[in-house]
Amino acid sequence: MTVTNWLPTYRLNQAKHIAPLATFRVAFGVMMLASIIRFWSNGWIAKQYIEPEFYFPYYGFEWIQTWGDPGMYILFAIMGIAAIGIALGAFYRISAVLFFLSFTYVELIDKTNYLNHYYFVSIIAFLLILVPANKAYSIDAWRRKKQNFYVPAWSIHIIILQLSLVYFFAGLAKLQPDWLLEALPLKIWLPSRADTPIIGSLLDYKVTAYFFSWFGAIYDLTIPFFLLWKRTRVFAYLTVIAFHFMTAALFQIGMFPYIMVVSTLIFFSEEFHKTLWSKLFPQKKQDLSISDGFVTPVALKYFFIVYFGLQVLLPFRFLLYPGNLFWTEQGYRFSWRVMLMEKVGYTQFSVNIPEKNKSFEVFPHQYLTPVQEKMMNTQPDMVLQFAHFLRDKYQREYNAEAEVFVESYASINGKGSRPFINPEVNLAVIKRGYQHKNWVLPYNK
Amino acid sequence: MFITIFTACDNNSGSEKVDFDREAFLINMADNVIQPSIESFASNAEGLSGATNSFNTNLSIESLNVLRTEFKEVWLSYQHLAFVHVGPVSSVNLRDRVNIFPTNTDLIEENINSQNYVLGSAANVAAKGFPALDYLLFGTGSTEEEVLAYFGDPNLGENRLQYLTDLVEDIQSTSNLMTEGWPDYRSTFVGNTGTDVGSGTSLLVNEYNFQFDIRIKNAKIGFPSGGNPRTGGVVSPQNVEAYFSAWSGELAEEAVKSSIAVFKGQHYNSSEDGLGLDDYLDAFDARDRNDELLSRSIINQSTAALEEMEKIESPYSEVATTEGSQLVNVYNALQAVIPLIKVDMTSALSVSITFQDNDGD
Repeated sequence: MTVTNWLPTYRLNQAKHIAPLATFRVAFGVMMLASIIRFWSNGWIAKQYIEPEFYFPYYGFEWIQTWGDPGMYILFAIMGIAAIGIALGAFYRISAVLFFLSFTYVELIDKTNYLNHYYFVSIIAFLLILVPANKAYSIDAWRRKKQNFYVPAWSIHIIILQLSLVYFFAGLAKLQPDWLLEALPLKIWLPSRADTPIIGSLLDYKVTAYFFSWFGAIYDLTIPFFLLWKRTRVFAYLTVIAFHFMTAALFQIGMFPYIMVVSTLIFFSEEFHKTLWSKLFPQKKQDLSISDGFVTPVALKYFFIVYFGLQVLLPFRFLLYPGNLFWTEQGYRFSWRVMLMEKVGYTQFSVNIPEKNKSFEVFPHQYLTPVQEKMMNTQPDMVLQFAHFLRDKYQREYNAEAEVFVESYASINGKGSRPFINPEVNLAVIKRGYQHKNWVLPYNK
Repeated sequence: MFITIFTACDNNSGSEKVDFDREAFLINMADNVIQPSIESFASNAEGLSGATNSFNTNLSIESLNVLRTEFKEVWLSYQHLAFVHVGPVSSVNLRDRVNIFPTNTDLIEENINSQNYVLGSAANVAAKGFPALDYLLFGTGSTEEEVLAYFGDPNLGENRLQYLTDLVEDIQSTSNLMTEGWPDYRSTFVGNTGTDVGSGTSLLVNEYNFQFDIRIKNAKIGFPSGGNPRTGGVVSPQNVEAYFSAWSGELAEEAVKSSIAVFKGQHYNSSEDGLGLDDYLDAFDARDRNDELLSRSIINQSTAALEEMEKIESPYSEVATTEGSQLVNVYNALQAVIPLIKVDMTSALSVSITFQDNDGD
């Protein structure tokens, strides 16, 4: 089957040197391995996936459950081995598939642990399954005694596009009054970091929060373009390093800054990466025959159109819901809204069993970890899930219908706590799902 | 690029900053609030030990009354210490070790009979501490003579005195551990001016909130009175603190007074107003929903709760059965403080509860 030689198609199917992709593969694999080791040694496998009594699965993914002890350790070990496989390019497709599945599985166990960074890792792992990043500089190539230095251009471009979308949408999300006009939430967060070495004393100044807010927004919106443009690339990359190291010093965001710093290397030219690799593996006579183009299966082409279409649309799905996005969080996740708000909540649950004339006040901390409780307190879908957990538990225990009510408060960006979820609504009878949550009280000024 | 951004947002407030000496705050909390609170508890615990010894050697109405008085003193000073549940206070697990109520009188009697008990075991948390003393010194007889007879019993009297002594020794050793542990912890406490997990500020705020919400609002008021309207008003007067001595009101009032004092960073011994959480919040210009200073709202609302408490004359166990609504008023007034401290204050100071990664969403 031939693909029409429409110019973009032609460009995307052009042969490009594998070096940038190979660098990305190694960097990603190594960072993932490091993340897994860090996660493991911090004791977080047990803390987040074994110890909790209750988890918050995603809607439709309730079948995804913890594997317990030692199952979760085995799962993380598989993930680690797969990350090594990706880095070395050994049994690459299987490694990439295993990594994607194991990582995504773990993330789907509990919403509490949702981070944009983890979502980013999942989708990059997914894209890596689809690209032939192991054709050269890899164990697979060595095993097959065949290096092939050329890959279709799209296999590099899709990664670049995905990275660019992450930045751009993160920037777009910052274009709102709290962030730009009031420097919120940075105005709250930065002074709390005033014990940071060297720059700490600056963090108490309001102007610092404004500077960081504006710089962050402009950085996110423009950095992909400055990285793409050859003349600004080096300067842009230095900015990437500075920006991400700064965020690493100031916030508890784990490995993400370092992952971004190495990932964005893929913006650099073929020549740059070839030099990098030739230092590691001096080639006698580089490059076999250059094929002038690849033929991409039509299905894959349409798949990418749909995939990136979704990537662009998902961050806008909040428009389908009435109300304040930050308050209801309908359409908040999977949209690159990073470090965007300071939200704190408080929820008190009570369970009534009218038939038995009994009432109970339930403290979430008896069932949830502090982090689970903190996350639930600000996210209505999680409050509902926990309410259903209580409903089921009490109905089993008393063999009668249970009602669940909450008294809850939340505040956004330090603007004062206000009632959050309607205390008159029996959450036991509310259905989960994507429909508008009219049981969340409107955000009143 | 940098310069344009800088000037673009540099309105006249450029030099405005959060002007707060975090170290001075921690030092004030350490030296003028926490340490004297530990010391006061310790000296009261000594008093309790001494009075127990005298009571042991000479069972009399007089020695019983001295013992009761000393007991009350230490229980009152606990109310303050429980609000600064950090460092050694937290590592001895003060709240659970000395003040789990309602106490389990059956278990106490069983322990006394069998003489086979380890007070430190988890099984005995509801058979020791102040609530257990409350039972032994007040609940074993309706008059002083009856209580004396309980301890003077020819068969079990000795076991009972032994149990009493063991309870007091447990409190004494808890107190010793806190006193010994404090100097080391102090430097850790004042040395970390951040708000990460484990920092003095984070611990203070989280423990303050826990004590206020769970141990005062719920345990002292909500449970016995059925205060939460959602509990359907099911009352359980036997669940009040100090059920037998009927000191519930005094202890609860002391607790709320302590909460205000700790919040203000008030010196324990002189009531002088030092750098406290209120000043910290003011430095951030933290405001509540109605744009009032958050520190003022917290103090005003806590004071309102205290005033509701002061209206109550009788022991809470009686009020809970006969005049439920009065305690419900207290409950509601305390509940109004909760969002202010657990949401607004936590948010304004951005205290962490975890080391886990977080991208602020």
